[in-house]
Amino acid sequence: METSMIEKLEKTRCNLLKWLTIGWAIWFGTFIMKDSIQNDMIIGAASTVGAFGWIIFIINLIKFLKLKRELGWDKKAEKALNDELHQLNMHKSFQIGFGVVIWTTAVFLGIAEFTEIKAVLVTEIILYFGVLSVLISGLIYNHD
Amino acid sequence: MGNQELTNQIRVQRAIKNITQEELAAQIGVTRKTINTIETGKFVPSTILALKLARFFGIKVEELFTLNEE
Repeated sequence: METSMIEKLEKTRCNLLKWLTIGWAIWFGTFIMKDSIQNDMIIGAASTVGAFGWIIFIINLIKFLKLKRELGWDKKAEKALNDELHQLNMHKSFQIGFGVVIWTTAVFLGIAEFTEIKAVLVTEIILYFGVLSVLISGLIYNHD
Repeated sequence: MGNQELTNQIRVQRAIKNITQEELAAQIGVTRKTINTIETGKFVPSTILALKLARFFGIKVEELFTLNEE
């Protein structure tokens, strides 16, 4: 009973992480696209696709937070799910995210030497790749 | 310093006790994935987890984990 429950919760968490990644990639990706492209048709299409991405992201974020809250009530399951392997994987994911943020910033710093770039766009791109790299590496590390 | 490889007897001990990775994980308080990665040598557990595993199987940590110098 206990064993299958933890296994089920772990699968749910992995699944939520997968959909959070997809949602973020679509939503924020199209958000950046809107800020960097002038074509009205592309902006319109990006807005529609982005809205779907936003819905996917928000729904799964709520589910993820709900799961975390429910886990708080079951200390044994929470401890098992957040065991040392999971903590190590989280640590490695954030380490990768940090590296990506640093390298993206460095790339933009290099580009800024030759051309003028919008600060808002740079911030959005850094945020996009930073979060995405944490989510993707988290998915890879949590994969069986 | 030469290459060091940590091997373990978890699979053997599980077979002796006739329990699955999932059942062992529940007994120790970790996920099945953690047991699987330890068993396959992909993840080196902490001293606490190693002691918990050894205690569960009723053997010494040195019997469960062996450090091989290559």
